[in-house]
Amino acid sequence: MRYKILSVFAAAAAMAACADLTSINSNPNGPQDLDPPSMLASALDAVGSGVDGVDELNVRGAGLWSQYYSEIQYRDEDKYIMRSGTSGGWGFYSGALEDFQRMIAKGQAASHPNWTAVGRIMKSYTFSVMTDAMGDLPYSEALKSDTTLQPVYDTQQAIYNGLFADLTLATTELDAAAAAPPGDPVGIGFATGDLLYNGDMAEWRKLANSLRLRLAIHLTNVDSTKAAAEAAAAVTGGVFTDNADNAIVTYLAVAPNQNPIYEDVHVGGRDDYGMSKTYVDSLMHWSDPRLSVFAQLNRDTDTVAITYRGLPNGLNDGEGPKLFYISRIGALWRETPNAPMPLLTYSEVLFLEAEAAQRGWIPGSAATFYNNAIRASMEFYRIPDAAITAYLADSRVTYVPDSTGLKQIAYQKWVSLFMQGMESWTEVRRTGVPALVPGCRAVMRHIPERLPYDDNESVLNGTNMTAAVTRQGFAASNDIAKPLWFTKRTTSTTYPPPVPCP
Amino acid sequence: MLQNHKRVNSLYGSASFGYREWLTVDVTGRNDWSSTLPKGANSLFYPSLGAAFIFTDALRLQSSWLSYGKLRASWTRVGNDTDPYQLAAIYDCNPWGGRPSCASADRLPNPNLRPEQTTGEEIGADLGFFRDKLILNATVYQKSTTSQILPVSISATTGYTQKVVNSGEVRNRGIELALTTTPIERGDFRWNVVANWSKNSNRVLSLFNGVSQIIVGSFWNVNVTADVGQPYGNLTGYKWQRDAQGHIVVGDDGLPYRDASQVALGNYNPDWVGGITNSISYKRFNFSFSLDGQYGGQVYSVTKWFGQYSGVLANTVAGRELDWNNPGYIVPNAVYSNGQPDTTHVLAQDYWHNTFYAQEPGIFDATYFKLREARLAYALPPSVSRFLGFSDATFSVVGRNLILWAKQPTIDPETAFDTGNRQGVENGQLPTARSIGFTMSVRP
Repeated sequence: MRYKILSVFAAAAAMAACADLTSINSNPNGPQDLDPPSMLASALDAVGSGVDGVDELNVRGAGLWSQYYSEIQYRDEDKYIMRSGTSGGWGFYSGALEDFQRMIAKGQAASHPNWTAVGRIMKSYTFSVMTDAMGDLPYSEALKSDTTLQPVYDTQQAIYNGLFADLTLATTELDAAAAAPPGDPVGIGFATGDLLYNGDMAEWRKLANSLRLRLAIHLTNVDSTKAAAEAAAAVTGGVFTDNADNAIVTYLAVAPNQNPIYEDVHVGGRDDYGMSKTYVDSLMHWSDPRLSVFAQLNRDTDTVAITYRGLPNGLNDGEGPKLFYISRIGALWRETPNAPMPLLTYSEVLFLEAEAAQRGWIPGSAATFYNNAIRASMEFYRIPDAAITAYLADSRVTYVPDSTGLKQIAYQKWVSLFMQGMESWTEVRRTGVPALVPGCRAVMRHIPERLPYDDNESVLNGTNMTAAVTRQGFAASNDIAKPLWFTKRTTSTTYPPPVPCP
Repeated sequence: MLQNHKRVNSLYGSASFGYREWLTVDVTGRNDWSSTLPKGANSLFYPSLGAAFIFTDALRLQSSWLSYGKLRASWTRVGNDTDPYQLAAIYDCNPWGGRPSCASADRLPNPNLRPEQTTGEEIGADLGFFRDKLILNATVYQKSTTSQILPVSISATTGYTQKVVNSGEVRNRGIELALTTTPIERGDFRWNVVANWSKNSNRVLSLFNGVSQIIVGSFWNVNVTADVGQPYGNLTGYKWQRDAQGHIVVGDDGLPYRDASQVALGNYNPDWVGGITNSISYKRFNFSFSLDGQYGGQVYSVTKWFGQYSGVLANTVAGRELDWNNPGYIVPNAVYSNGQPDTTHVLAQDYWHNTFYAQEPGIFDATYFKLREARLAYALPPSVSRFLGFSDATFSVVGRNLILWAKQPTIDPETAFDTGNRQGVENGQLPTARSIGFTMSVRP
């Protein structure tokens, strides 16, 4: 036989369960849909850890450049050498911002104006930090993955306009919710997920107005008309009036919700940051009672030499005092897991009001706002009343109106914004106070003006990013030398290296 | 514990036909229904057809030099589904104290995925010469994968860092050769050689939505990318900025600038891979050794990039031979942005820390060859084996990974860092262990 069939084989496997294939692919590991109260805690945690954490927006960037901290090891950013992969909070886009955007949409779909309003307020807070850090950003076309994979960059001015509009809209939405009949769930909102205010919508309204005031004052140099109008409207709408209003993420004693400064040291095993000599010396010079809260004593083996001592910023690895001579960040954060991480405080609001009053934009006495601002900061850190009174009685602290007053406000604000490196750096760039001198080995003779865009934008959204880089006159996406729009400056004040350099 | 459930239902059939002793034809057909794909797009049919023709038998072509000749040809289509749960995302929940606390996913799911499909054609020949003293196997193939299911990076400004897509078409073409020969066989002496060599070239013909580049994996700021018109697997990152003559451009501080945008710095695919095993026997002794390696291709070495950053590699000594901070280092062959030659001394520490900006200093040629194994064996005489109670016994000395010759020093480029899309990246890999040992094999 010439032809033969060597083999024929047929089989059917697992035909029985054919009908139910689709349901097998339903992921059992988590919920596919959720209401905003279950999302808010996670997103607020992300903002707290991002804005006040150890990364670029606080310890390893903005706060280093405000000279609160210094790098005691891996001294790159302290010399203004940026590592790849650093940015001014790019991770917020796919993290907290996406969640806030969903809260806005879900609130609208379910007619829960509180969900929408809280989403808007936190989205605005987060975007304001990012634009202050980086400049122009995808904003109006961002967070639209269903339609736009490559969003255009809006100018910082357009973003600020959007933030003011959104914050105003949020307060209106909160009004609508408040008007709902008692017992109506529309009026309740967020009790479970709200780490800031436990669902108290009156506090959220104050936060919206306080943030609006902060952003108004940021525009003082570049658009004083807009700044004046927004500041007045914010104060009229009702800002923080007590430390109890503070927007603070209070972390927990147990893992994994411990504060990021503590986690870095006690979970991550890192010890890369100490106090800056600039800040420690400044507080010592002014006999500031908050120094023992903000910094720890050093660990000098000679017990009579134990003191508060900072490391000069911008030295090479190995230069300057040995590590145990350098004070670390205060025990309130570094050694205490359940620490408060401030996002916006009553003390800052009072400083903002002091400046607005000094400029004649709101009624009231600048001196009173200023004194109360210092007092609010000290009371928050539980400084005894006698020590506060003594500090305020120091003739150097006493408010002198007009241009001296504006400098005093800026200086005292720099002192009190400790642990909020991002806001501090923004105000230093706006006011030039204090006049911070780059460290000896810094590769640039003025403090950085911005943080880089994400490295991969050049690949993933290159055309739009390049347009923004060109429009703002940056040398590249990671240019950290060019002042941003809100400062109104086009050049930076440069300083020669301190002498002697170690 | 994360659960991962997937089910594939299948129908499978195959048939094989023979004509005389010299022609066989194989046909297969298979249909899968996968739970991982959307309803309506979850059915995958993949057939294959193959034939083999022993022409030396059919045409009676055996001669003193050609002892065996077979031609093969086949056409196959293979469908592929994906991992479970790519069609919809879930929230990641980690309670905050007692409060629910859930975050949205970073990977944008795709409810409209289609199966991916690979179609391949190959022809080949198996030839035996000189009474099979020389056997040659040769295959030429082409494979084309369409609708490849990939998680690709997207701009985080969308709210997501990745999106699952059906990408376009990737084509592979290649040639594989294998040679088995016995050049000398005389009395008690026998020398055997087995050699193989292959070359594969691939090309990304299209991606999705008119996109010309996608990031398929990232590690330490280097991206593994697919670029239209280029081989799959480019290693993409930042280079130093250069002027028209190729000089590195430094700032007034003497440190190199990074380029404005990322470029392909290399590709992990080798030009070719090959290996050869020699085996020489004389009486009771046998000596064999195997060499193999790859020529071409690049590797991104995080080990070296980081070693340079932290100053632990020998090439970072320049500029600090005398003193930690002095006399410093002048970037070789560099100019300022005005074109004047660079004369600025920078601290070695600053220069190498500045390399953290760019990925160019981490790219290396991955060419290597290895003396993978050498073995000397001695078969004990039958009388001795029997005395020991065995029918035969062999004693050998074996050395493995004896010599690595790599184009760059420091690391072994044969990296197995990742089994997914993130190929061509090396990170802190331990060198392959060299071992020398003795073995005794016996048969009762």
